[in-house]
Amino acid sequence: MAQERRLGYAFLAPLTLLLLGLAVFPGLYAYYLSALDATLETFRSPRFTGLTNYVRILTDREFYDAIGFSLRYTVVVVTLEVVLGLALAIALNRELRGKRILISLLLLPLMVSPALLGIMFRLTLNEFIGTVSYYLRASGFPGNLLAPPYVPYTLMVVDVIQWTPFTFLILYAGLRSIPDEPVEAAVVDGAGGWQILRFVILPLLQPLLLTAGFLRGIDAFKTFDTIQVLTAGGPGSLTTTASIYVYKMAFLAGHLGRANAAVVLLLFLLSIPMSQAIRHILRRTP
Amino acid sequence: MTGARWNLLHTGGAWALAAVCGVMFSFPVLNTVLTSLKTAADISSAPPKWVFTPTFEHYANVFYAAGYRFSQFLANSILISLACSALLVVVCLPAAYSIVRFGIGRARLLPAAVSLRLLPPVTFAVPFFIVYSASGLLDTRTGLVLVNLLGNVPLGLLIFVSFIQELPQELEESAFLDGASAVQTLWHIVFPLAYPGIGAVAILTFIWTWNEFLFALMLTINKATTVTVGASLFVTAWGVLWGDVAAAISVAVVPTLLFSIFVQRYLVRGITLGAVR
Repeated sequence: MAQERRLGYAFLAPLTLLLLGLAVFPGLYAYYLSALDATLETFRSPRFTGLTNYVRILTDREFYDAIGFSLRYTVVVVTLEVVLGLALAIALNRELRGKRILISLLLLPLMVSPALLGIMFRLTLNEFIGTVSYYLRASGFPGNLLAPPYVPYTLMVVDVIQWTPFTFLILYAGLRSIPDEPVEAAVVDGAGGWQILRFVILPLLQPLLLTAGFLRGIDAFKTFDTIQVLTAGGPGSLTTTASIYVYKMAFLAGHLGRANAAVVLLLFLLSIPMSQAIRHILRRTP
Repeated sequence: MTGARWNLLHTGGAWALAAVCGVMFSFPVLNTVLTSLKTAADISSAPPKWVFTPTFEHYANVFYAAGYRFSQFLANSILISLACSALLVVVCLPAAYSIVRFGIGRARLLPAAVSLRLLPPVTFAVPFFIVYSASGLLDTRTGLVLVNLLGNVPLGLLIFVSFIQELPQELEESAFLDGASAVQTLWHIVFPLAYPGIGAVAILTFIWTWNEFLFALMLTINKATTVTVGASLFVTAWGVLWGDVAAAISVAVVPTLLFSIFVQRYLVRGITLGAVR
């Protein structure tokens, strides 16, 4: 047994070292940095400034705008993605002609890099050469969906296209694992489709709906790639998410310390949903 | 088949919904690949041309035209992704084995790794930038391999844990009784049985590392630039040359799409952190 334990620790050593070096140390360093006046020029010899960075962030209008945008974005896309994902899961939970091809098409965006998908949309929605733009304009709609006032909604649609496959995949797996008996009992009792969905399927799927919602919610709140590529948070700061705010503060404005104060505040904001999500997920993890 | 018994949607409606979404979801990729095969004149034609004589000039440009460094970006992405997925397997497989069979690390390390998946990557952006600047890892492939290892630990560890849990323990026990050491057992018994799991983790790590954008953007300048960042540079620097941009993205997206075919089965486990099997 003693030998087994020693071996167990030896097997865990590389991972533990990796996590200490690449997560714990940088994580603690991030907190420390938030109290320094480090900028891109002075980060080699920064001075301690206490809570100054926090005051600067908390009095920055743009910080609240970014959090507000991220929250609105998250609520909209998660709602749409869960509903559409569920609808697709129900649609495909049966024998269907060309089902395998349909599923492959539906899962395609999951494997495309979000940054590259963003560029694809710049191409597709381009004012002059975008195919979608052309047909929109030809049918009387506005031709440039990447300009205000439409651009926030366009970004949400891009997110829905990229991540509905994620919710679909989870809910489809869940639907297929639902046993026949409760559904058949409901059918025998004369329940209609909506009633079965509402009173049998949704309660059975609830843990997975929560998993999908939690994971998507947290990920949507920290969105960076697609929006950075499509609008870089602009025009102005109209589409600046929380992550893009930190990026701009650190690498465009050059205020590394101040950016980390924003990070700490964001982590504080996310701590409750994150701990809820971890508890929920770990209950179901092997 | 429960589906047929409680049809909310008629089969026709179900098919239509799936088909419309399937087309919508894959349209950006399709449109990009088509654009990459059009001449400049065909690209800017209105209405858009759906039938045209394909040209490969943009692909030739992307790889051979002076001023583009796309081949270098591609080489960087391949090397970084390969190294990262190999290292991740080496680090996570023994750890997962220890968690499942010895129960060591289940209480703290596993939850810690899972919560890592939820943290915003920007948390680590500035610390990594400063440490890398100080240690000479900025703009190196090694630096990007390290940071991507961090990003892929939760997924790799959880897939391995759930995978090893399903392996029959009897084989290991009998090997053990025959006098094989634990390392020999791991190497000769567990490792071969775990091939599919290893393949899934390696491929998914490859894809996620390939697709990573935020750290590749912040921690590279020009030497270690990957295709995702390189392709976005294409847009800003040569924004008018949409044919070349489209060809660059098509090349950058094809490896992940090909690989993804092999791992669809494991995708659910990976993305739900093992919550669904």
